[in-house]
Amino acid sequence: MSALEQTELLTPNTLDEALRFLADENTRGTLLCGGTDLMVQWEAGVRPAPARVINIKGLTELSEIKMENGALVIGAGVTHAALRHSSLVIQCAPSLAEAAATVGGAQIQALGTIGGSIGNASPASDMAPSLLVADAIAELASVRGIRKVPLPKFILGYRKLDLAPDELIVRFHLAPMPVGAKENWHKLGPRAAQAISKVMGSYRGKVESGRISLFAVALGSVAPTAVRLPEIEQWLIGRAIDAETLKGAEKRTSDIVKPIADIRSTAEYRRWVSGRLVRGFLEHLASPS
Amino acid sequence: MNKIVRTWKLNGEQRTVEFPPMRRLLDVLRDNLSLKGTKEGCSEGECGACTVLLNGKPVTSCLIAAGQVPDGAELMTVEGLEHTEGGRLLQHQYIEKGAAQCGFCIPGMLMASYAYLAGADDVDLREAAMREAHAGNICRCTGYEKNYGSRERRRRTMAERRETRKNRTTGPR
Amino acid sequence: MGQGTFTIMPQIVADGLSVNMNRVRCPNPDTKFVPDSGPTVASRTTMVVGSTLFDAAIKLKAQMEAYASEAFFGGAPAELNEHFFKNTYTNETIPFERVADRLIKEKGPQRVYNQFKLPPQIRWDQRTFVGDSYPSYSWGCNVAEVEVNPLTLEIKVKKVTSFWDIGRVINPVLAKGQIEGGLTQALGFALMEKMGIKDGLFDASRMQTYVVPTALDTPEMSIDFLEFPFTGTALGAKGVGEVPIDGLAPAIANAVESATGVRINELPITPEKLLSKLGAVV
Repeated sequence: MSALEQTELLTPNTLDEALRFLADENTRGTLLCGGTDLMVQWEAGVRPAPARVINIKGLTELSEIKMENGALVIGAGVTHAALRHSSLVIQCAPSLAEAAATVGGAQIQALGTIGGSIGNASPASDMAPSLLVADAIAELASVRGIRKVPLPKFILGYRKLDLAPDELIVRFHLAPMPVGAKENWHKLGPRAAQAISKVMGSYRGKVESGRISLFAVALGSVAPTAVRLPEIEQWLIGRAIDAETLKGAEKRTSDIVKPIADIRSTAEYRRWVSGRLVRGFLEHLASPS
Repeated sequence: MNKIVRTWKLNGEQRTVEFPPMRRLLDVLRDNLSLKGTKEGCSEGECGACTVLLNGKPVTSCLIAAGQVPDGAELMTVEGLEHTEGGRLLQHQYIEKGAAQCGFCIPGMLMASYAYLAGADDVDLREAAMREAHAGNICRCTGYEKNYGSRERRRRTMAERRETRKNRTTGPR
Repeated sequence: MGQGTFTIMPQIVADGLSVNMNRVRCPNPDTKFVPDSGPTVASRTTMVVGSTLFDAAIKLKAQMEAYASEAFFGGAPAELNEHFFKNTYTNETIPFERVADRLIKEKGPQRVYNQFKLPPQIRWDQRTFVGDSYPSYSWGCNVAEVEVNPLTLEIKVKKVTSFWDIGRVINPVLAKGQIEGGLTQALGFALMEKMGIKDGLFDASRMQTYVVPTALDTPEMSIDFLEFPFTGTALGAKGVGEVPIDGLAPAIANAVESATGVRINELPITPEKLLSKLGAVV
């Protein structure tokens, strides 16, 4: 039977109680929400069973999607199912809604959360690219107070976060998509659903008077963390989307990314298709909406 | 002893059960509550054989610590289908279509069908949406088409769905 | 498991006996009662076991009809049809149960024995490897419609049209299920399934790593039968278990070649392999 028979479970009723549990050595434990990553790793023995787990599933403070001070605020406990159907998300960060719709199947979408996807710190997090193009800021809480950290500084590396043992991801603050801008999400996996990506990415862009005035692009599964491509973004600003721009952006992207080969794909394909995704995003941006 | 007690509304009945809190919901259903209809396939959320409904939503019960399911939660396993009009209809449609060969995926597949068809008023019955609703359930012997079937069957399901919802609000016995 | 044996065997026996299917019970096969017939191989259950049962049922029917003729119709021929034995001279009928009850009381349970025999025209020379190694072959034809995304080289099968000759189709619903499932596996082999070995261990030993098609990967499938009953047995059925998996991957390979001009000779056919053959210029 389960590897977790001896593990203690604490279920706080409020965020404050959860933070107090985390602050005290005698009640501190591994945070568990959707369980779609952790339960697998524990059962398979990839991670040792913890002595104590703190169950934050269903905490109302983590479940909200709302606008606050001009930012789209998404609770860390919001599920992929809630994300993909939220009209606020569809309006302000459409590529995030699209990404949520490609996670697992209906069952995983009903369980898995945006906080867990980022908290797992996997390069294949389907949430990371769309959060990156929306300049997302992670809001972290502990009994010591609140910290707000931009996502690129929060995800430090493969399975490494800037998160203290007494801290918890509470919500993400996203810059809403500007009027007239567009977004898109593309995930390449070994199959059409239930796939861990070979490469995936999101962009947010805008064209004004025939020239690119905004372009943010992020790719996942091509580096130890999901990455923005600032060199490409800067090169594109002010350009018209013509054949030369498409070719240049594709080539530059393939030159910059340094993916690895693994069971899902080859380094060669990942490098090539990264450029192709950026080309596809530019074509999407140029197409009449 | 590391045990907790929970009372759930399981297949329409109040059930109280005691278990180690991090035991998987799948194991509590099968071993503590003797509901063997829910199957363990891959144990990692890929195959969907262990799908049950938690407050109306399809979830893989291998990925939920049973202690995470609070008192008063509504659970439905494949054994609960026969207590609802829509569930019985689905069962008959699966039989009619010959949807089950080895049958191992079928309890989970049925629950995915039921959750999708009984889930909302504006269910999208187009083929792509039906396929997506079943994409979390892997079948290795009969394929998938039989599980959401012909256009004619989707129409019938839609017509009978109102019945399902009526039944859901009154609750099964 | 699950191929429908316990549905089609009673169907076949009921057909041979001309009685309703719910009069037929199909116990688990047990070598305590029947000889060991070898392994489960070569998609032969329907053809071999089915034919054996069909011929046995016909023998049993004749045995019961002979008794009905002698005991009830004064020697006039009797014909068993569903619920009655009929005197074919006078059209007089006697219920099945009445005949069966009296038959069992007088003569005890009726048994027939039958063994499958290769049709005489089938010959195989094990010394020279010449002849027909199997008595019958099923045939299929698959058409795959495939889209290759020019941006990413992702491959999507849009539609599969297939026709099958499996001899006499015993149960169309189950036979279609066998074929749909086989085509789904074939699609997996064609596009995504891969079991490699790394450091002496399988590198795809879990369902997360051994990727099989989902409902979103499988295309619309049009499956039809062309029934040419096998002439070597009275039943006329051939096998269906394995044949659906054989043809689709080559059809997909042909379609991918027709779309891209590149032939991939090794499964699975992936965007990675297409890229290495096409080069970066698309």
